[in-house]
Parts: sequence; C-alpha cells; structure tokens
Amino acid sequence: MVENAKKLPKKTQYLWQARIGTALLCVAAVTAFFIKFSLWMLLPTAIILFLSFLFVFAYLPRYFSSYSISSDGKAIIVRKGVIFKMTYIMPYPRMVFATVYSSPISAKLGVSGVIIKAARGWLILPEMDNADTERLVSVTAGENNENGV
Amino acid sequence: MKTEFKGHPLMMLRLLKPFLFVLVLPLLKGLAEYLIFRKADGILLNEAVVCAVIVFISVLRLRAFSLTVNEKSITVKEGLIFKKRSNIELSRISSVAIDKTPIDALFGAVTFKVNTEAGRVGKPDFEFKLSKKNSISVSNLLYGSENRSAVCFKNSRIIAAAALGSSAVTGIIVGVPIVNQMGKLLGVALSEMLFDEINTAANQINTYFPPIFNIITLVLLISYLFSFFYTVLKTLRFRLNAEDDRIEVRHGIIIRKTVIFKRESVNDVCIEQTPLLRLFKRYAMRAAVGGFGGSKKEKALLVPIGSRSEILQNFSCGFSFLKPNGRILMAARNRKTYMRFVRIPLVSAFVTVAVFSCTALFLHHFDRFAVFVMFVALGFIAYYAGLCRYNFRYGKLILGESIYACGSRGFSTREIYLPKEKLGCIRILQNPFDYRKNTCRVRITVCSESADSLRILHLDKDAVKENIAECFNLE
Repeated sequence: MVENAKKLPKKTQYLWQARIGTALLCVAAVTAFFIKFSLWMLLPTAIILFLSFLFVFAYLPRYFSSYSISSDGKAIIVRKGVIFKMTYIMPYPRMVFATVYSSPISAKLGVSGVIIKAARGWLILPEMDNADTERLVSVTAGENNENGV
Repeated sequence: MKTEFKGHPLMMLRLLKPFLFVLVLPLLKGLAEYLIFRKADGILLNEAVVCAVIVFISVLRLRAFSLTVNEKSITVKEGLIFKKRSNIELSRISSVAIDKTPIDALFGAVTFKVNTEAGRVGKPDFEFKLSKKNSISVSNLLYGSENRSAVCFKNSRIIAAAALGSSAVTGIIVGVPIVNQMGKLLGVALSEMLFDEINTAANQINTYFPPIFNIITLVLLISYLFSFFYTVLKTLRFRLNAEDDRIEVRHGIIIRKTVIFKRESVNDVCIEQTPLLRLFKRYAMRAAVGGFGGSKKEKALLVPIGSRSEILQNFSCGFSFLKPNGRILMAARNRKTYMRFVRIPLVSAFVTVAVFSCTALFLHHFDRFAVFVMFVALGFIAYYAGLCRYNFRYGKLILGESIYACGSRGFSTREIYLPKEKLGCIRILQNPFDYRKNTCRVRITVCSESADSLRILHLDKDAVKENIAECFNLE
C-alpha cells in the first residue's frame, strides 16, 4: 500500500519559475538586441516572450503540482507529468548512494535537491524541504527503511 | 583518529584544467616573452587579472572540498556556490583505486578514486587528490590496516604475461590515439610520417605476396610491440595482498596503481586464456568488481600468469565459490555432437577455399592477393575450429551454491566462477537445429554493471531446466 505521498513545496515552483523565466528573458533580450538591425526581429522576440509566459505561468505550476513522491516501504515512487504522465519506481535495495545539491538561493529558502544513484540508473528529485531530503538520504544509507520517505 | 580529510593543493590543477590551454598556458608564454624579450602585448594584463581570479576561485573550491569517514558511511562535500554533498554507505563501496603519477610523487599526492556499482562504466564515481598520508589513513579506515605480506610476481613472469597477453588489436586501439595526440602537440603529421616509414620499409622486403602483405605485417608487428611495452609498463612490479577480507593489487612503473576492495565485492572470478597463453598452457585470473573505476571492463587482475592448478590452489580458500558442486551439464559425448560443434568452421573453410580459388583462377591480376587473404582466413578458421573443439571437450555448466561455466568468448577461453546470489540471469536459446535434438544453448550473465557472460552450447534442454528448477527452488 502506498503511503505518505508528498508534494513539492511551493518554494520549489517559484524557484524554478524564476530560473527558467530569467533564462528565457535572456534569450528574448538577445533577439531584441537585433531589432535595431531589422524590425522583423520583433516577431521572434514576441513569440519567445509569449511562449515563455505560457511555459512559466501555465505549464510549470501544473508540472510541479503533479509531482508526488511516496513510498510503500520497499521502494520510492515518483509520479510526475502534465501531458505525458510518468511513474518512476526505485526499490530501496537498488539504491547505492544519494547526492544532495543546493544553490545559494535554495539554501536560503531551506530546500535542497537529491540525486539518488542506483546501479544502471539514477533519479533526480527537485528541491524539497531539507528535512525530507535528509530522510531520503538516510533511507539510501539503509536507515529508516521501515518508515520510508 | 582523523576522520575529515581535505584535498591536496595539486587538486587545483584539475580545477584549472578547463582553462589550461585557453588562459594559463598563453599567460605563462606571455610572461616568459616579457621576462626574456621585454615585450608584452596589450592583453597580458587582462589575462593576468582573469587568471588570478580563476586561481582564487580554484583555491576556494579546494577549501570547500572535504572527505569525511565514519563507522557507517563516507561523505564527500564539494562545490563553492552550487554545493554537493554525497553520502555513501561503506557497504556500498565496491573498490577504491589510488593512482600515483610521477608528478603526484613529486608533490606527495595521489589520485584517490571511489567506486560504487552506480555511475558510468569506465569512470569512477568520485575522483580527487589527497596527500599520500591521508590516502593511507582513508583506505585503512575503509578496509582495515594494510597487510604486510604480499605475493610478488617476478618481473620475468610479468614480462612473459605481457608477451602472451598482448595483441596487435590492443596495440592499435591504444596506440593510434596516442600517436595522433602527440602529433597535435608537436604540430607535425606524426601518423603520416610513421606510415611513410612503414611503407618504405615494406617496399624493401621482397616476398611472393604483394607489398600490402608486408605493410599489414609490419603494422601488426609494431602494434603488437606497442601493446607489449604498454602492458609491461602497466603491470610491472605486480604485488597482490589477498589475506583476510581486504584484497589489494598494486602494479605499474610510471603510473603506480593500487586497487583495494573487499572479498564480498567480487561478483565473479574469470580464469582466461588468450591464444598465446593457450600455446604455453598458462592462465590469467581476474576478479570482476562492481564499478571498478577507470576500467571499461570492471576486472581486477589478480594473477597475470600461472598454471590453473596453482591458481585454484592459492585462491580456493579465499574464494569459496572456486569449488563448485552440483550436477555437471555437458554436451553429449558422441561423434554427431562433435560434428555439430565443428560444422561452422568446416563449412567456412570449404567456402573460403572455393571463393578465393575461383578469384585467383579468374582474376589473374589478383591471384597473389587472393592466395594471401585465403591463407589468413584459413588461419583464423583453423584457430576457431580449435576453439570449437575446446568447447566440445571442456564446455560445461555446474549449477549449485556456486556456479561454474566453461566455454570460449571471442578468441579466448574462459571459465567463470561465481556464488549463486551473484547470478544475473540465465537464458536458454534454441535454434531450429536444436529443436530436433532437444538441445539448447545456455547463456549465463553475472549481476554486475558491465556483466560477464558466457555461452555453453548443445546442452540437453530437459536436464538444464531440471537443474535450474532444483538449484533455484522453482516448480
């Protein structure tokens, strides 16, 4: 029986919206720079801005709300996806080690991400609360297998 | 006891590596020009400032790195702005490898690699520089104290193993990239110069066969010699410590490599014979260790050369699965089964002779070339026929608490020993010729990252299924 399905915190969604939004704005700025050479560059700039707006404010919130991490005591189950829904199952015995990653902003927000490495595979989880991250790391280290995530 | 370790300052070179050719070396060249000729171009100051910033960042990144070892796990922390912390349980570590190049030896450093079953094949999971003293402390914390008694293989045996284990193919695979890189560094077309020399030398030799025969022979000979010297430099000063739970293998002259792993990390043991080793009835023994870093095949060489009885006698105490017990499954001992084994080489030989004889008869200009290619092909077929005969005589499978399989793979013979729990999968295959005789081909694959596997031919299908059911308690 699947228990403890956890959603990602809102902070993670805002963090990724800021990251991806900034990257897409930079792309739009590059195309906007060429407007002074040709007014036709207005069109791709407008398209990039429109698609960026849709991606950041329409798609990303749905994607992060679809993300759930749970455990049945034997494996970690990750469900995600908006258009194409995916389920990843990684059994506890197959986990080899975990790497916790964080940026200065995510550290300030109290969230960090985890990469769980298994033989012939890996699972990358976006930023979660530090307490949940530490629990996942301890599961990989063989502790708290009964309690799960 | 110290449990937190910092990186060696030489690790900064690894951190500076992306900028080495685009910034550091041009800056050093500019500084040298300024000191010698008192000439400086306009960007020298800018290069110096950027270089200083990058070196400063490398120093900070070096300080941010730490390795912590405790009773249950090791923790690797790295990263300055984007931080990473990896926690690995001690039981999940397959092996550690310690490399010492001449530059490392000069500065008292070693390259320390930690391997697990995760990660990419051919690349260690973690690689960093530690001081020699710290690397000994870390390996003692992970695997216990170093055992002073070691089995040392005489250099004459190592040279013999290199001579018998080298091949022209290995020489070409290893040598060609080295020659190309050297050519790029020196700014000369080194590979073209080498080929011209070989061509000149080949044209001076007069034989019945066409000049291409001389060129191919010279290339193969040079490749073989390259592979031989490369293997000698890699395996000379071979030492093996295999007492208690810790196995330590050391070898190499220019780059001294040490690999340490636990007995329980060994997935399987292979006793192999290359074509030349078969000639002298000698064997090499390798242990497959999960995630064995830096190696495309995750195998640690335990015995470079020895007789089969000597190998089994010395290692059967340490590896209990070297004494397999169970029912022996072999191909039927009759002439019809023997002919099934040698059918393919016989047909190939017949077709080869027919095709190249016709080529020589009808295309007179190519008759010598056709004869040359025919003899080379027949040589390969004759060796392949020998392997087929070996598979008939010795090919077998034993399924029990320990599993044993004997057969051939490529041009080498191979025996695999493994404990039952390390078995990955067993495949039973039948082609139309097998249906009539109720025989099958069995492929066993070890449970590991780049898995060892072996195929045993023409076994009785009912006996195989019965044996598998008994061994794994299946209905």
